[in-house]
Amino acid sequence: MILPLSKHLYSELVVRKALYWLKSEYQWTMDENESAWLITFSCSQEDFLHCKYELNKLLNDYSLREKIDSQTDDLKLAIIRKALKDLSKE
Amino acid sequence: MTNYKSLPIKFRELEDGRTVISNLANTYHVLNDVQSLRDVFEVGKCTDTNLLNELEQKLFITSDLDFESKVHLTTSAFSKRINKDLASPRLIMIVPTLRCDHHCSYCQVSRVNADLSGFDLQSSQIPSLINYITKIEKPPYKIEFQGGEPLLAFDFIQAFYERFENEVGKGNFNIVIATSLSLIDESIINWCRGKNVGFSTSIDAGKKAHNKHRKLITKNSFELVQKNINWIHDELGKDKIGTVTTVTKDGLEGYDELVDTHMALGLIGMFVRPVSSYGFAEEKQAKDISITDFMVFYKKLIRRILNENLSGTPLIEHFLLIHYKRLSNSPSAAYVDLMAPAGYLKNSILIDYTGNVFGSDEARMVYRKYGVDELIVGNINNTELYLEHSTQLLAHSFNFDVPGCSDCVYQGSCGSDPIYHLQDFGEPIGVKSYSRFCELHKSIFDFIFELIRDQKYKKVLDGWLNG
Repeated sequence: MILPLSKHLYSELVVRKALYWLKSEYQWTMDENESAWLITFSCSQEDFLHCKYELNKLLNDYSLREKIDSQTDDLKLAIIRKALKDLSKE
Repeated sequence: MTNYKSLPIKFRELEDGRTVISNLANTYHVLNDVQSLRDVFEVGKCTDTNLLNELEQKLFITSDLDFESKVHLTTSAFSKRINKDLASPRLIMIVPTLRCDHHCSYCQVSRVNADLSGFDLQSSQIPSLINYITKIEKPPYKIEFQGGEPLLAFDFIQAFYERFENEVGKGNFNIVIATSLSLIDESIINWCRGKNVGFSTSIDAGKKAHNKHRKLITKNSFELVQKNINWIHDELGKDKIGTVTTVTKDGLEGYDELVDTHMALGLIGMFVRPVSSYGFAEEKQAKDISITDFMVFYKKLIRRILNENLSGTPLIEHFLLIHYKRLSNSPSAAYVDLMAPAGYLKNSILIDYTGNVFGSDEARMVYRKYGVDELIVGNINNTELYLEHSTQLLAHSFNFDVPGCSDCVYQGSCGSDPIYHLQDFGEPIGVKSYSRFCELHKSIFDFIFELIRDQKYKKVLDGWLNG
């Protein structure tokens, strides 16, 4: 079963992070064409529906993280770098 | 303040729809729902000034004017938290013997029969042992004798204590003997009087589960441990014994019996966790109990304990308390499993019956099963240290840049366990989505937010925290 996910809606990182948290029984592979990420699941139709539901939740979650983090990611890295630099001086 | 800037946050939606947020300073706040999160942090259009003020105080947002000072405060809190985990004292565990009178089904180290030879640290090695300990750690020393059954090597413990006391002074160390208590006798009790020695023992969830898994030829491990806890209380004092509970599939209905047993014995503390999957326990019991099963048990257990507290009976469950301390940035929140970088080696070492030194008890369990020589970091009989592999393990145990942890709301309170992940995944980071370690600790943190929604339970937990 193949689930296409629009590249316009989801970045590769968001898709990969969402797939990371899928249960181990959902086996998947990821491919792409010009406009979409193509996720192939090896499972029954019923499992596919569960899996799609789970994945949609995760995609929403990681899309929101991506939006929120985009405002503060550089600052987060700067804080971590500064803290570790201070620690190495102690 | 309605014009504000966001500072870096992480979030997690709880089962009841509320959303927990946290930041690098490891402060937490619970928002009513995901929409509130969107309003404050995505759209930036929240007008609830009370909420905004609280979020500002907790370093989630800042005004333009205060931006630099808030960033400085966040950096300082982040740095302080890592430093606290780095600077915590090291627990020194000694395995004087691998022999044991019990034959537990979930034994992680594959103990050997009590009458075998060749599985004991020799008394002649005590000077080297003490020399090693005093070189690697500063006083006050925290020593724990593990096994096998350490009481089978009680002569060794006595000889160690007397020499160690002479060398470092009585006020500079504390010893705990981790024992089933089945072999304690009058001479041991008498020797322990007035000394810095306590006991840690096991009570599993219910007599049936205890005697089924903690196998003695006499089939009365549960009865013996109860009798001997009472004996220690009467002769040495209530503060000289603590318990640890290992929950297996057979104990899942035993939450009330476990509490009743502790209360009947006058114990005011307990430490309850699922059977772990280290070493030889990996293929035995650990796979039989899922974290979901454990959490069903644990939630019933904790609610019973909290209700007992509300009825005036003091009883603390320390596994929950340590998680609550980690969420609250308590100064005494050091716990080897919940540290990042990991507590392995820097906060614990284990010296086994061969004199070999490991970075943790779990590392010797994995070594016993798989013979991973790289996990031996040294030996008390020579000064060489083999730290290359362990340094790599520690380097991979920061959790802010690790897949699965980097986005986790509990990152600042949780830890990383390179040895567990090394065993289960063949490398120290592992796949967190399949990790029992991740599932367990995340479930407990979630549960705490579920509990403290009820002010009466929060008050009990705060009492434990400040007690």
